[in-house]
Amino acid sequence: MNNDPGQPQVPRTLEEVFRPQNRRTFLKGAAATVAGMAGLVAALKPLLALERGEITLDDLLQRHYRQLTPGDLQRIMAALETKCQQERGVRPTIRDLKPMDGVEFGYALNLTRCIGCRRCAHACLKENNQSRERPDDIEMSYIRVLELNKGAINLETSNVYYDAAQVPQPDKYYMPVQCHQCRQSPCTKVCPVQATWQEQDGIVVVDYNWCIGCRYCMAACPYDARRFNYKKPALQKEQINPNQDYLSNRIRPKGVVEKCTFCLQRTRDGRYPACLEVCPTGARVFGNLLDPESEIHYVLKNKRVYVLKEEVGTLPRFYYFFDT
Amino acid sequence: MKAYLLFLWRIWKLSWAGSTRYYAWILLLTLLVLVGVNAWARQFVEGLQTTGMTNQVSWGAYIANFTFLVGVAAAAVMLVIPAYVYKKEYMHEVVIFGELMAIAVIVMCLLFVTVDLGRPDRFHHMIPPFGVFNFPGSILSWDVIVLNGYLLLNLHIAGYLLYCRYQGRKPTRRFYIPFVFLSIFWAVSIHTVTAFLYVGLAGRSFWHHPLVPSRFLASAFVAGPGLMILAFQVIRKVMRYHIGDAPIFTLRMIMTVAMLINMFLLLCELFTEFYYPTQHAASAHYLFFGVHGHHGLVPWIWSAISMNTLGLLLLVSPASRRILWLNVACVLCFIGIWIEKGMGLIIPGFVPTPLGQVVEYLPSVNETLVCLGIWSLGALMFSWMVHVAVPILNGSLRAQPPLSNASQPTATLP
Amino acid sequence: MYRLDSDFQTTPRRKWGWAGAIRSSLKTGLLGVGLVVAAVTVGRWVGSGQSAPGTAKPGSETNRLPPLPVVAKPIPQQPPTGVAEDRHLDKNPPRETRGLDLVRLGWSYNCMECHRLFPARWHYDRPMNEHQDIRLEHGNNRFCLNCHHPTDRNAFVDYDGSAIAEADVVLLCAKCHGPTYRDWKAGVHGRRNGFWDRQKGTQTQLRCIQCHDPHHPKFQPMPPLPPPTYPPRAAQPPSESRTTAPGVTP
Repeated sequence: MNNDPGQPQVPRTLEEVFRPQNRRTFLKGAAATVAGMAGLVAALKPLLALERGEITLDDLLQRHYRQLTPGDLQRIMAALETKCQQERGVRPTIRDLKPMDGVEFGYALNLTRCIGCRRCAHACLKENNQSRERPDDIEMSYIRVLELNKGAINLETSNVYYDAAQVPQPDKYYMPVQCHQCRQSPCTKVCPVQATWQEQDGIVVVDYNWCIGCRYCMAACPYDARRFNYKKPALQKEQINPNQDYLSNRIRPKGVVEKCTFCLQRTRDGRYPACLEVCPTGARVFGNLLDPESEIHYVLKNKRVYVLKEEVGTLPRFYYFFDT
Repeated sequence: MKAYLLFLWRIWKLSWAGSTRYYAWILLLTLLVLVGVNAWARQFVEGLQTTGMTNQVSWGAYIANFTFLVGVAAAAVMLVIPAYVYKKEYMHEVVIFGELMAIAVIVMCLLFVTVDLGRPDRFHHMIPPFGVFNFPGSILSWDVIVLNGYLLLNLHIAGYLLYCRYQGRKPTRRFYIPFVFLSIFWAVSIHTVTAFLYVGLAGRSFWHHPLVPSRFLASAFVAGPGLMILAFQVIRKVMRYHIGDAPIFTLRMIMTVAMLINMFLLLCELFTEFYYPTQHAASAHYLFFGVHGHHGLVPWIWSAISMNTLGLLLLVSPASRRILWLNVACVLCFIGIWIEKGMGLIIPGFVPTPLGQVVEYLPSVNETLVCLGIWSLGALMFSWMVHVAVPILNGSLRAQPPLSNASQPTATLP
Repeated sequence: MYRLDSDFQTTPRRKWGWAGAIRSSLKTGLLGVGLVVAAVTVGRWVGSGQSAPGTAKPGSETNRLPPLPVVAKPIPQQPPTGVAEDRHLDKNPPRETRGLDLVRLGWSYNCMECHRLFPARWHYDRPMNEHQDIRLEHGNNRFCLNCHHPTDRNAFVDYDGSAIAEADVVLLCAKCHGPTYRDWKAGVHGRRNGFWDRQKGTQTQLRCIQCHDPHHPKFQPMPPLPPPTYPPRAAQPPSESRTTAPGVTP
């Protein structure tokens, strides 16, 4: 800093500076401070509408999922069950299913078979307790079914709103897209708080009690596979699936990101994901990549398989294949 | 220590000493801040559904403003470099204002990130002893570090220099010169890291582009100096502090060069996207011409481009040697860059979605009010800091009054 | 529950009781053929599944029907799909299999009741007296007896003329659709339900005819479930393209 400015203004004296600082202006200042505080309180008034128990001390002090002791987790899950019962009138069973040894999940989808009936997208909603405004509001479904023009895999010409009387339409083909559970997952890489990570069986999960809701993962995902809870999930009592898992389909809090977990509340129990169970064409193939006897292994070995957006380098565990 | 507390106390008292004009200005800004706080409180309770953001366009006005403002903060370096590297004496009379502006703007940046969070109550999850910090994996965690680091650097440099001036002693070079030079690199790094936030996302081809950081810096060095030119004129007009024309015209030159580079890079980008359009040009196509009957951003980007072009023409022409035309150019460039980096860069990255769905975005009223509140807070902070810094700089607030020995101000203190 | 008499053609009135009498007389009046037509009726009835009870409602008089002899080959129950507790998921097979449905409802029937009198014509020809609902669009496969056993109509026919049980219809399809059968066996064609991990539970698998009508096997189009809507909070596009298909960009 230059101590001797080239053209100094005539500096005011201390008396000048402090002249207004008499009793009256001091009172004025105090009054302004009080008024400012009152204004701040008034401005913060909407906070009163915050529901009781929406943010508790326990929530604030809770550790990351991977730092929780089994006892802590049990306590947290019991609290979540109670909260759900109080708020929504259904007591779910929240479990914490761990990855199975020697299991890495893979999913394949037969584009020759898929007819775009959207049964999977709607079943996803029934299974995973997403928010919905109407029973058939699939905005939060983890599956988006694209209608594409035959002759190219050009996603830029895709249409998710197609509503023909009958599917498939002759000049179209259909491509459901959901989380690809990438081996090089951009979403987990960018999360600033490691609220999302890959489990041992390849499933990318979100700790809904740790996510800060910055939505960087949504920006990073090349498959539009993540959804954000812009509000507290709207879910009727009879729409709730009580079979829940802590890292998967338990009812999410407001302001966090959620995603497809290959229905780990089912698949870690040995069952098929919901989207596969309802597929009328059997276009979906799910299984353990590490098991040479599994269906998914058969597909990878015998079919013409490709992955979506291979150029992004995500190495998905979700494959598309063609058939005859 | 006691002397420093006294310094702070005097600054506090000084904050309340001002003309009616000062009071009116502060009152206006405070009201706007309160409106913003109110809007944010509503957003906190109801969730981000109060914004215009969707699953498809998951970042909006908040992140757009954040990105733009990081650039403005980084532009303080454009005062530091001439002052400290090229040792231009006349820049020393304004360099402190650049640092103060950087402080205010970085605070705005941090606020814009905070209001964008779905769970601001979990902010502590980012802070290591309580949380898990995904470093060095996540560029957002880099950004948190560089932004806070830049804030601390500028707080230190500006605070130290002002305190030395207040005490009437020469600042010790080793206490601030290393930090000044660090801040030069740091300023570049904050905007580069912010650009890397986007460039690192391979799934969004509109951002996954090595030109983005360079363009970020170029446009930042237009918008930041533009704002400073305007701010300096206000300061020299309403306060007892002399700022000559020399720093303003140095900044004009910087703006001109930066804008030329920015427009050149824009040209490169347009050529790449449109000479041989690929699927990856879909976002650019949407931005400049619209796709599938969606044209939401077309008026924005063309107004930005025309403002920037007009601003550049003014800057390179002799007309802007006159302050009036220079001011017009600054306003045009500032708004042009603001649109270009917000509605012109952040939003089209999400449109169409990676699956080709076109969902448009426009900030909601509540979202706009929150933005307005944060901008007002930044203006409020900068006004206040200038208000207390000027008496220190022009020597009317000194620890040992050199001009008058009457009425020790300490006498009024408890 | 209706039971078919094994030898009704000799003494139809006595064995059929009231329902049979009404039915026979209706049909007789309609077609004026008597016994033969009665047999034809039965064939038609079997062919079109549940349409028959419209003519004669199963009720108390059905109890008077004497039990049938068991069909030579056991017809398995329609297999369940997936786990019973998944009530929230619609796992119904895409197609109701008539024969198998009848079996599930307790039906058993013997095609040979008619076909011992009427050997099918070798070549499929549309104007037939019976099985009029059958639309054979199975590619080049236009011969009934390519699949149906010429002498045992309750079964299908293998390459060597031996019978394939009705329950093993998959093996019949496999005669021509080898690669598909291979995929099906691997669980890659058609749907499996239940447990991917067979150590934890059972797996069910849909069979060919639960999705494909054997006479016109092309998978039938169906109405799609409702689409997502354009997000209501998003800025509305000015044009009409709110939820309609975007055009193809050149």
